[in-house]
Amino acid sequence: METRLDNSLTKSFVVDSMSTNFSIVNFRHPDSLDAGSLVTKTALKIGAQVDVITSNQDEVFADFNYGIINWRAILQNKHWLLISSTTVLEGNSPSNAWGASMIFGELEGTKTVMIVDLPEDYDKISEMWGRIINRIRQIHILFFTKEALDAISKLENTSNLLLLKKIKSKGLVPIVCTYDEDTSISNIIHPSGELSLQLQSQFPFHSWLAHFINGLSLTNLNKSEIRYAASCVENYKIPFN
Amino acid sequence: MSLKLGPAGVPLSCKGRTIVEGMDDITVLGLDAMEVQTVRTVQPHHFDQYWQAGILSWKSDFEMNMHGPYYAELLGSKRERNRTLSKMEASMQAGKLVNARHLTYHVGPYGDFEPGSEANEELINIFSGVVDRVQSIWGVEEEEEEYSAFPWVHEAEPSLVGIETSGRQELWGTVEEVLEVCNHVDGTVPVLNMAHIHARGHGMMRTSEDYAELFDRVRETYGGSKFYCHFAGVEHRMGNALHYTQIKKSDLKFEPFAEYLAEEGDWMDITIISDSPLLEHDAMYMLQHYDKARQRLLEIRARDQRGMITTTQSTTDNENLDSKEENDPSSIDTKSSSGQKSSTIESKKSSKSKTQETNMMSFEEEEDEDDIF
Repeated sequence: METRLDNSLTKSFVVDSMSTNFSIVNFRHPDSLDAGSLVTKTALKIGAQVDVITSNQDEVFADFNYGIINWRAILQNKHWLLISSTTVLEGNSPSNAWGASMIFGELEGTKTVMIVDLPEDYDKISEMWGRIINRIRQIHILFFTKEALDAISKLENTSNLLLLKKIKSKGLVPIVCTYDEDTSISNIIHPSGELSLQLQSQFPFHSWLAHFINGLSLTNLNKSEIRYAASCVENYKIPFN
Repeated sequence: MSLKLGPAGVPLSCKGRTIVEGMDDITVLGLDAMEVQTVRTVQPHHFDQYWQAGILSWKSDFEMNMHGPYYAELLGSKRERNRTLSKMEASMQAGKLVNARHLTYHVGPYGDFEPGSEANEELINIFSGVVDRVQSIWGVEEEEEEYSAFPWVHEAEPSLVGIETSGRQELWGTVEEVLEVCNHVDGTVPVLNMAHIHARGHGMMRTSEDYAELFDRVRETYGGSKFYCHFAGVEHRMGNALHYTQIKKSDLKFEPFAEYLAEEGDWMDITIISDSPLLEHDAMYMLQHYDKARQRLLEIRARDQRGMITTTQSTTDNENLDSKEENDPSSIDTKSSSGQKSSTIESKKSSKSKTQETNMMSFEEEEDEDDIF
């Protein structure tokens, strides 16, 4: 079920309705095709309840009135807050709302999934990454697209895998992960160690991530559960026991 | 006692994102310290706002501090160490501009070293160099004109180099290791990250006695009364910190720390930086708990004092009565004539007051009416 909420919370409409295994709140540009919106689309298909928070139709997203978003009410009893790194670069209002959503996520117990993608303006990658680092403690799953991981590793002068490990150990982010669409390999650094898993078929990254989130237990992140979640996209109809 | 509290970075609720705007917001919240985060590389275009922040902190009683690079590998290969040191250099420069009292640094993984004296000796050498560099950046009085824009260079001590405890077993930075290095290098100070100490010690910081033990250990080993601490909630497992959380949701509570500070912290000059995901919210939470602990302590002391005054007064009344009896024997006669019982009561009172006076138990003069012997 996707419920689209504008910032005045006066309109909401259901796009689709299936089972409600897990719930996602996605903050983004109304017409965005960013990584976060792709993940929510896939999540919707596999039965997630999705709330999209964005600006009013008569507002400019970069300057919308973010003060009236009741994050506390929106995030109450929701499993995941899903946001893209590029949203922070879209203006002052999105940047503030992006930060506020994570604070209220922390307060309400909603876990934050940050998808790090490349910005349109490549020169802004350093600014974007700096903003993420400042909020690193509010992030529970930090996912890098292949291109973003390459760029940020270069920026940090380190290798891809080492970057993931360093973020995990210094930022104490519970799960730092990436998925390479070309090789179908996912690399996940998690509280119980690390996992590199090659899937038998190729999937787009948003499909892998949506299934990964769906397959994750919210309480216990042991090795077998991480492995199960990482391969969920291939066998997502098989229940974990 | 001097207690300063503040967030690690510009407050989350701050509409602007500059350090000066952050300082304004922190002051409005009733807090008085901040740790500037240079977790990534320090950008030259930030230097202007660092200097403005330095001036503001110099003219007010606001304590500025600075955190060094996010990735540190001081025990890594030569290349890794040099990369870390070059990032640290930028934060040292910025530290001077911002009038930082402490520059906090991580050490990073053990690398090829085993935990022990060899790794510590390596770090003693490295941090000696870091302290020298901080002092040379800070400047000398002879070049006064050159530093006229930085009045704190002449009137304040150079920033202290803080070495932070780590929260994971594979990272250098137990309390003992940090104290050993700090003990050997003048100009360094241990940064006690309570979340890390708690996690690494399998949840050891539970009572105010645990804090007393920790600070006593630091005082005995390192000396001094100035402390620089970080505090946040933490999820941990097997002696490793897993994730920072808000304080309310962690098994690391601030109440015992507040209790310790209120009861036994009179000798301390302490700065506590909140590095929880809810930066300034949790800093204020800590301030509230400290105030509550102080209030509770004052109430207990006032009650004890009232109790002591009441006891002293009753003792004095009894003594006055006794002396009155001695000076005016007729009153005893009157009492005697009024009956044997009252005399016995007086004698009991007298013996009781004597017991109180000497603060010893005495059975000699007591006469028990029911005593068949």
